[in-house]
Amino acid sequence: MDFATRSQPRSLGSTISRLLHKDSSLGYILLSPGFIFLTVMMAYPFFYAVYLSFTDKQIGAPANFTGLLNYTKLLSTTLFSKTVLNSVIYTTFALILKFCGGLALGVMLNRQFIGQRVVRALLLLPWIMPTVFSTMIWSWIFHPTFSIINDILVTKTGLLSEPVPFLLDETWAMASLIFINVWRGVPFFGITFLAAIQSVSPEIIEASKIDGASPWGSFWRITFPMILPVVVIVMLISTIGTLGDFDLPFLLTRGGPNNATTLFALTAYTLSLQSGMIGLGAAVTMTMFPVLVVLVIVSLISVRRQQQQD
Amino acid sequence: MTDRKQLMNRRTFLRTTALGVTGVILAACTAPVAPAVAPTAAPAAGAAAAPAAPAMEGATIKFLGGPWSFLPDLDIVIDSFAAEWGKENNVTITFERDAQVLPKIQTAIETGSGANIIQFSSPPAIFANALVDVKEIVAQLDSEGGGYLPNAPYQMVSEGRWLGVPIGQHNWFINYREDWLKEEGYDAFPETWEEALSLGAKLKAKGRPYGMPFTDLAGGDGNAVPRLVLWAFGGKEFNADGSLTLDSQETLDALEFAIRLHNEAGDPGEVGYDDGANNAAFLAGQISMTPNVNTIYLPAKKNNPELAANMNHALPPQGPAGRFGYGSLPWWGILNQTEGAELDAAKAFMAAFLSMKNFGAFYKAGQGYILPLLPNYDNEPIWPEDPKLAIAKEMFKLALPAGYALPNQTKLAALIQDKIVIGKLFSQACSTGDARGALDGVMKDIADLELLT
Repeated sequence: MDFATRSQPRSLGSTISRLLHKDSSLGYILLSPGFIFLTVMMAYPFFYAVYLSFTDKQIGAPANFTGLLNYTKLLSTTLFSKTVLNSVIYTTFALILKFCGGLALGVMLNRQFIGQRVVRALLLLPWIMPTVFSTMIWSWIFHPTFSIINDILVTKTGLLSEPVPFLLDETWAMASLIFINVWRGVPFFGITFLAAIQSVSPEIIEASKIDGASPWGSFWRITFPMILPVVVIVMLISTIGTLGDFDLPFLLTRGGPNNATTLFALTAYTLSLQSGMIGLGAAVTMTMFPVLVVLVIVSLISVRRQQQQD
Repeated sequence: MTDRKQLMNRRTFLRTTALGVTGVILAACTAPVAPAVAPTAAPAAGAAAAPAAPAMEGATIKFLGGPWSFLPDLDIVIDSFAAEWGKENNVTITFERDAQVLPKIQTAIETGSGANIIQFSSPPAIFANALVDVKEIVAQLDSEGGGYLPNAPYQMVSEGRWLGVPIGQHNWFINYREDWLKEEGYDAFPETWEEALSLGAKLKAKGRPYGMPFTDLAGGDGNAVPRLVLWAFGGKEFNADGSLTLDSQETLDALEFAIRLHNEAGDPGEVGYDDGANNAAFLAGQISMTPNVNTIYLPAKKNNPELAANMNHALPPQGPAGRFGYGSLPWWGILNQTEGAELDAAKAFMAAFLSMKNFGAFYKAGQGYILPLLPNYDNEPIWPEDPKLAIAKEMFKLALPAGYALPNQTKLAALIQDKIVIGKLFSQACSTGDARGALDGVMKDIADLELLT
């Protein structure tokens, strides 16, 4: 046995040992399984979708490169312009209401009262309940014929002469959709804001009180600025989720009436899966991409700033 | 702290992780809705007419389709025949049934595996590139059945190829409350839409409105019911030469009538019905009439015999242009990834099961739920014995397809059906009371679909 043969295992072992003991390389080694997983499971479908959006891919047929044709086609349809408008309205109103509701909930839950823990747990129910299940219940509540709300308002109490067209009228349908999204999302906002509020040092609040600050002033001038980084991150993550919402409009309205509740993901689904036009469906999802990139960049900058503040 | 530690400290690690998680969210939000699978191989050209057909013995064929949830007996008929036929011919047939079958079919097509025979009900045109031409099976059935009714080639033929074999048709007949009509002096449902409107107004005044699914939320009822009215007033989507003719005075007449029917006789919620809503409303005693297959009557017979005794069925009323029925066609097709012994076995199995000799049991089990498309079934013992479903025998030759009067379905016609555009037209007209506005809106939608196809 020559020297080289004998020394090779020792050299390999020592290299591995050195890598495992170096903080700079250990981090990358620990990250690598996750990174490989992300590359295979996320990056491949993403780049494949990008590729498909530039093709005329249909179910069962080979994909041919068509350049920007799918995008130019989409931009000249009323379906797409309606999809964009609906998505903007849905996301904007849902976010504003979730922010307001979540903040109010966070502040309320920060106060001591009997049964506080039980209330906290119960408030999480809408968020932890499977969307399919909760949407099915809401579809019964808003049902065109069997709505319990209409039954109470029209039949039982006579407060209204006509039933409320929850899912029949374009404006009402969008409002119903936003309402359910807010109902589902407020607990998450509330609990996250509560955690942020509780991390604010009580001494600072006490000091402001001693200096004569009102509870209102103390909240907006001290507490809110301190929880702002959390607020920004929650809002951005929620924007991404709300903009890409699929299950709620699919289960509740199917995009109707008159495409009044068609959002990006639903339009992509109907074009690609229902109609077999995969390339066009992929192009719809890709139109969301620039918006999402901007949001993610803003989100990362916020995370970094928060880390620097820490 | 050393320099090396500074390279990968807690903050850096968290930052890198946050970047990864953000990437995941971003990719998840923009990833295609369709299953991410490898690009399709080119269709097996001439698979239907393979030159040297290997023996089918020992082959395994996979069937993929939706379950017949409403009448599980239909699946039992299929399974029993398959078991027997498979044993006789030394062929294994496996079944996979899923209510949400579309994504599974698409995955099977794109991956080239997982299914040989598919069962589906929406137009096959969207799978045209992935289906074997089954003209040999169709020719055999056509010959023994006395020639297919026009519904069949319309739905199944694309560019001269039979994309599938229609296994029958669902027909919509009028379900009405016999007892309530008698109170108004009617022994049977009126023969014309105008008479039906005047009766409906009386019934609505007593809190017993009609439930006409003028809706774009129901793939079955929303395609069928509006067309019963559209055609009766002379409107149609296409001319026989393929040109679009929906924007016509006849369509506006149909819409104006539908608006009156909705306002004077209809349930306000009918413009937002899904496929189950009219069934539920009728079974709950909230509506006096709704067009449907037998999916109200059969459950009523089982769970609410009193209601079943007080209801009956009738043909759709006539309009100025005549009386029309609507038929939607479930079908079986063979995916073109099926080759050799599997292809032979799939064709032989379909030809055997769908032959008049064997398939009558399927229709019989359906009790009018699914009706034949071959006229020679007229004299076969497949018709419902219940006199209240006797109407089925009159209906089956009356039905026309969505897209009438095209001789074969086009991609645009399939999309109009898939997207329930005619349902949307009637829903919008009845919701807003503006027939012209609704028609203009829908014509824009159709222009979009034309552009996208």
